[in-house]
Amino acid sequence: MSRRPPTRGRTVLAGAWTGRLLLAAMSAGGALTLPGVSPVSAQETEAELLRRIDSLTVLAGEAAIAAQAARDARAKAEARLAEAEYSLDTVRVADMTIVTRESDAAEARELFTEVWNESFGGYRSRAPGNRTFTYLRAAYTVDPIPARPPAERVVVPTWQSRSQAKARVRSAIGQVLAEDLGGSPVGAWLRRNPFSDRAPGDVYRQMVLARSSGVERCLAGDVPSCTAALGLGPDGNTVSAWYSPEERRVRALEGLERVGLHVTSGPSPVGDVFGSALARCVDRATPDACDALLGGDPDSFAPLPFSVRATLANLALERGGRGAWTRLAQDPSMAAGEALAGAADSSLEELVSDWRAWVVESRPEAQAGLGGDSVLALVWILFFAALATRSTRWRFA
Amino acid sequence: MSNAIQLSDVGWRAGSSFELRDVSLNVPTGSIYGFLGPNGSGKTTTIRLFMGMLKPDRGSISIFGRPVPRDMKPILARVGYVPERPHVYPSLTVAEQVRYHSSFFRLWDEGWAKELTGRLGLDPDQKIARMSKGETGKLLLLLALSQRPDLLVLDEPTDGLDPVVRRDVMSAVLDYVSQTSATVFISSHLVHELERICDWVGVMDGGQLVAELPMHRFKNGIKRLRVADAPHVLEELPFVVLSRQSDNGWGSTETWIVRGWEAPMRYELEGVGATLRDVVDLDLEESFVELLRSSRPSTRHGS
Amino acid sequence: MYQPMLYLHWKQIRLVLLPFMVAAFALPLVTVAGLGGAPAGTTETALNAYAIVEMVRFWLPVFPALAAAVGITLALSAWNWDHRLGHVYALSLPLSRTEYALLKMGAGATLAMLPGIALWLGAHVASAAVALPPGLHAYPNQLALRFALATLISYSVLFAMASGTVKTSMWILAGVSAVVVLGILGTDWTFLQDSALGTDPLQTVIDWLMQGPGPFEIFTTNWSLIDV
Repeated sequence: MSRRPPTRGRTVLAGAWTGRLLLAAMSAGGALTLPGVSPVSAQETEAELLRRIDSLTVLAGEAAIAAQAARDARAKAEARLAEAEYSLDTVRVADMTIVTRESDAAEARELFTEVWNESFGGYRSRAPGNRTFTYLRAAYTVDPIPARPPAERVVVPTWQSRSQAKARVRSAIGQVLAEDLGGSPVGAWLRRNPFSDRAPGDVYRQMVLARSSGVERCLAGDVPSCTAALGLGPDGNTVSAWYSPEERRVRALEGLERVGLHVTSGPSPVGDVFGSALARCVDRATPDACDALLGGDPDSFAPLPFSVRATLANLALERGGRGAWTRLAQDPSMAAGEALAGAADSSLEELVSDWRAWVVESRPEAQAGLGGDSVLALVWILFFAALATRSTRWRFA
Repeated sequence: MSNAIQLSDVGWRAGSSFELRDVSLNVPTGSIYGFLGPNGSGKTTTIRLFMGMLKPDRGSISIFGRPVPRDMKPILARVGYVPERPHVYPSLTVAEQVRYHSSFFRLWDEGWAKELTGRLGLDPDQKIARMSKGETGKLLLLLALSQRPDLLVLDEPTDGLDPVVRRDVMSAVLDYVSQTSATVFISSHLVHELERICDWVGVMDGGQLVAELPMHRFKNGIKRLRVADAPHVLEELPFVVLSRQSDNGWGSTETWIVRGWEAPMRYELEGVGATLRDVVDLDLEESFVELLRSSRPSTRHGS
Repeated sequence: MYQPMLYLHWKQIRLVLLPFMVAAFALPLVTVAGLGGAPAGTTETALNAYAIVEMVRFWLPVFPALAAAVGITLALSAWNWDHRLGHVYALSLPLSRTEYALLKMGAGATLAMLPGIALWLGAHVASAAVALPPGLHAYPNQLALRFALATLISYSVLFAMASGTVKTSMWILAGVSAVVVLGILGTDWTFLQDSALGTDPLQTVIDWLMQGPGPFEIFTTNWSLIDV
């Protein structure tokens, strides 16, 4: 059961909104505007553009306030747990230390052991260290168990099943062990826990709406396009494999809008290299005119986010069974595609093909549940109709 | 004789402002019952009680022997009602309103409705919102009569209507009664209008039924007498003295309003030493006024 | 009895209902206006998929709002003249109160279907008018069904409330006000945070109403004409 932020946090946030309004009012006559409000004009100077970027620091300040509110929530939950009397226990599985309540210790040991053997069995970390976890079965989602050093927290709501609990444990262990992938090509490709949850229907939706002709070809059945869209293309991440020229233009201009530069047409507002690249992109001078504005790191504008890549890694680990994790992480110099194929114990093409089939099969039923919704609606309609028939005859005073 | 409408000791109160007390009313089947009373006396309230629109606090009500409100549905199928205020839908035309109303009554007489439409001078295509008060009144009557009711309840049907329309309305009612011997319950404060057509009369005042009797007795039963040398204290007399007033404030001659007077009673009067100078018949309106005066505590003189 | 009742309600409401029908027909067309122009197979279809879904999402709240407006208008108009004329006519007809209320409700519910039918037609025309990129599908029947159900729900709720006396309406209003006040004050009452109601009683009530099994759950489901 999730809780809303406590009153104090909400008061702080309300204060932040008031502060923002005041700031906006103070700078109304000046050049400080909220991002993405007015187009860049030829008269706007570089200083004014920089002031726009400064406004982002205001937003960053607000983010800090929100983080403080979250810390307050945790402190409150810890205090409440401290009021209730409990005693802690420590369980060791492989090189993991799990801090838990006495009442949860047996369950924690069982779960961690099972998950370790199934998904990580045989793995020896290149940098073994003290991996500490906390485990809590509770009706609330904030875990106040104190643990030193900072540990990976596993909180399993009381109503979740054993398989769901195992999934959480697997995800937590994967989160910690993902550090081992750190400097490797597969780590750079993945950048996250391969066991993170992602509903398959969401992946399909993401792909349909990716605004990428490469992803579109992938969905249509072209497996090499899938490989490229996932950032595993044999020629590296080529933007031309992902996007058409028009798609690149849309992305480039959107990216600029996000930092407050709304460009429609006309002369370059800034007379430098950046400005001329912007002009060429806006005017569609050449097919690759916008490439320079997309950013230095291709992964920052890849059509499929890292969370989608994680589903491929997840599939590879599932296919590979016991020892899959070891094969994925053992060679820090292995290319990402090779590492994934090795983990899955198949070729990359086969793996990506199976992944594509899994995505297509899991196309969400956009109108799922309409039958149930209809029945519920009809029941309520009949209920209110019955209520209306109770209209009384005695209407005069 | 059976009663089309019967109220027995009915009481009803609305807050502290108005109360109907112990109303026992009997409308004989086949009669034309005139329900008289000044404004605010409880006539419409009484009608709403037996029409099942108000729930009595005590007492019992029946129509054609069926209890109200338990058997309201079969009762209302036999009752044609013309309320005090029009209840028809302004957005409809006459023809549409007739069609709407007819769908609820199995005994609806389409031919009679058409005849009445012509006779009352109504335009079927006219929108009700644009009709005059008189035309609306005629429409309400048309709807009530075309149902072929056994009981016609008319609450101030001619109130605010010009004499021509009033005549049309009453003539349609009488025609219907002559054809069907239906019971008519008609309330009004226009006494002279009811005088010609009603054979029973009930009089309401201050939430009570102060009189209920056949019309001829009501009309003939109240007289104005001029009496001389009457004793100050009257012994028991065979008639009811509703009021007595000294003429010109001095002298021995008095004006008496009496009920239940018959000619031979002059000898009773002479027996107590009084002399009867004159007997004057009162019309219904005068009788009504004197009756109300006598029923109100501040004006009661007689025994 | 039903047909004249239906005709009566139609006569009272037609000038308002017709614009609603036009709006219901036009709304799907407005949603897809100018979209999906690129023929399939060109490189712009991937952009079109996103643009189509974004535009559908933009207009999405208008559909349930229109359904609610239709239902509420029909419900209030159903009892309008009865309230104004004091219910005398209805009470003088040889019908039980239950029969009268059901006839009225049926008549209004029939009229409530008209905008739904208009929307169904409009949704089919809109779906045929836009070239859908791969991965997207049109759901005109489902949208029309949701619209019809949402209209009927809002109609039946307001109809039931309008059929009551002034006293009943005041009780309902008092109850709603109490929940709102409790919700506003309750965020600062710590004992409520540990109760079954949770931190915010008002939010809890709203969540129940707007999600299953509450009556307004249909309003918060997927109203997309075009989706994956």
